[in-house]
Amino acid sequence: MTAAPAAEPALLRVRDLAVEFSTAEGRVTAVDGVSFDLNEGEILALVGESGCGKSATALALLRLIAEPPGRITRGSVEFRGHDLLRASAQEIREIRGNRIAMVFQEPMTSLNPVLSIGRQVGEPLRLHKALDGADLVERCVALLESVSISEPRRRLADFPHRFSGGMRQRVMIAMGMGCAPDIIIADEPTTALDVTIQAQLLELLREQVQRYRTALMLITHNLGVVARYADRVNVMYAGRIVESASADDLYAGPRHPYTIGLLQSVPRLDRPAANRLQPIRGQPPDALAMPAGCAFHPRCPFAVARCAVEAPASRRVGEGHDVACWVDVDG
Amino acid sequence: MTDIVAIVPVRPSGASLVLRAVLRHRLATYGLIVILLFCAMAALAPWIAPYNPYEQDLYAVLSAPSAAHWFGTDNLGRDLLSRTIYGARVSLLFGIGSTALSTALGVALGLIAGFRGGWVDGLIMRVTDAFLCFPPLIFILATSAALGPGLHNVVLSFTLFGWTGFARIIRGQVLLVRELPYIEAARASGLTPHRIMLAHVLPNTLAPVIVAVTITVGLAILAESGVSFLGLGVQPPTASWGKELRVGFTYLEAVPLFSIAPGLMITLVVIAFNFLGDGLRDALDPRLKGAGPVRK
Repeated sequence: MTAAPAAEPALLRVRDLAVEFSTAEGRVTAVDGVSFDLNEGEILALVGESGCGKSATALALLRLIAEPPGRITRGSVEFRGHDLLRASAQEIREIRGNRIAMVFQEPMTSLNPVLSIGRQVGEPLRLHKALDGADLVERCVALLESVSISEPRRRLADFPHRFSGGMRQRVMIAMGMGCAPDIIIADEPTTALDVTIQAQLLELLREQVQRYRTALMLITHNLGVVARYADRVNVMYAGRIVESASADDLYAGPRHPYTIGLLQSVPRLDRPAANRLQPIRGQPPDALAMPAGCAFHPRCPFAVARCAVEAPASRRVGEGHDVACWVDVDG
Repeated sequence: MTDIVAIVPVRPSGASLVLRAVLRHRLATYGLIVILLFCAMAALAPWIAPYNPYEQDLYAVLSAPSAAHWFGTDNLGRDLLSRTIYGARVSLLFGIGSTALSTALGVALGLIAGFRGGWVDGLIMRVTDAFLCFPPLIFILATSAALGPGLHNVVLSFTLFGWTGFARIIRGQVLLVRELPYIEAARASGLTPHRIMLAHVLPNTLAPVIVAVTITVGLAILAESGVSFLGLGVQPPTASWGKELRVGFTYLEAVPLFSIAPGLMITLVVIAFNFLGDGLRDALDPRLKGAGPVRK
């Protein structure tokens, strides 16, 4: 467990965060009371299937949810003691890209096709660090070099279409690291890439955050990535964090039926091949018609009567290990 | 590192890549050549026109084409070739000037409408709807008539109508572009909405506008000719193709070139702009965007 010394408050403290979207069919609660801490230098993974609210959570941290249709309905996001949800537009812009940076999930479309790479890598630096002229160029060159772009000086003038997907993603990482932020939020940073490139990039990302003691929030649906890179894991289901534990604890002893199901549905090299993969039965719930009680109960093999009535609150089951489930399951 | 930089060949800029793509398009190349020739003709009119286009020779009215007057003379004895050459000045100036004004106005309003959304968008788009209820030529004629004769009033009335098309094109593009991940990434970098709009959204919306601009120049030249033909545009003694066409009409049997020459000029220049527009459209096709503007 990598819990920070108790005296030091968390770098980012998210409490009871909720996000709603209004759609033609009605209101959808995408994030429903999410709470977690992120400490300095920590790598935190937010895991869950598509639509579970992990990206919405990430966007809400920087108030990037498009309004309308989205809305942050309650909660607080304290960054070094300041609530970002109550900050002015000016204050939040000074944090974005500067103290908290995002690396987006679509390497092919997250760079502006009509602006040169240098211009885009340099933009946050110009904005937040007031760098200009030769200083700016030197810093951009150094950044591209640090993410292993060859001949960085020459490539500054190139446009994104001359870069491969992997290279673009490395440029995105360079952009994110540019202002030496305290936190990087990486939303599925490798989904659109080859497996070998994925590994390279995650290695790169880890190396970067370790060098500068940057906290990293890794949003992914890939449990393999989580096992390898994360210190802590938050498992999300239907807008809530259902289990939170250190990566080691989570793999050794998952306690929530959903986490157990997820782990059983992933092939693992450290398990005998005789173990067949167990899919989680059923479908994720319809966001417009959430089941009463625990959202997972219709798919849960361990469900009891109470699960259909009352949503379980998070309870502590081990050191730094929280589970939102009524049943005591031993994975 | 630095010695590598020194031997790197200069990369072509985006604009020169587009130019190359246009030059690969045969019709667009012809269009571009014709347009450049017309521009040269307009600019060099005082040097290449054989006569002063305003000089009347009342002893030689309505003379047929001859070695002295290649196109013949008009009803006041003025050299028709010289007047046709000078007419290019009015047409091109009008075409380019009024299109530039319409584009500036349309792009600004369309960008604001698309980017701000909400009631701003609603208001601007309802105004364009209202303008688009009128047939273009009737609108331009009516406003020119209300403003009084004169070329600057035709420019004004063309702009008043012409911006609506550009505003619609830009707004549609903005609605597409503003949802793209790189705009979200720009917001996540802490850029102000103003800067995102100008530095990130605007440049990505311009490709269809460039195409529309070339075609609109052709349309504007046509509109000016039409308005001048009906007597509302340039006033005598200035030569304009539309007006020459109109006056020449009366003397069609005596001096056919009086009408035919300016008519041919209008046709040529409008076709040239349309060809160029086609070529630009192919060169800037968004489907080729990801691969860059040039692809073999």
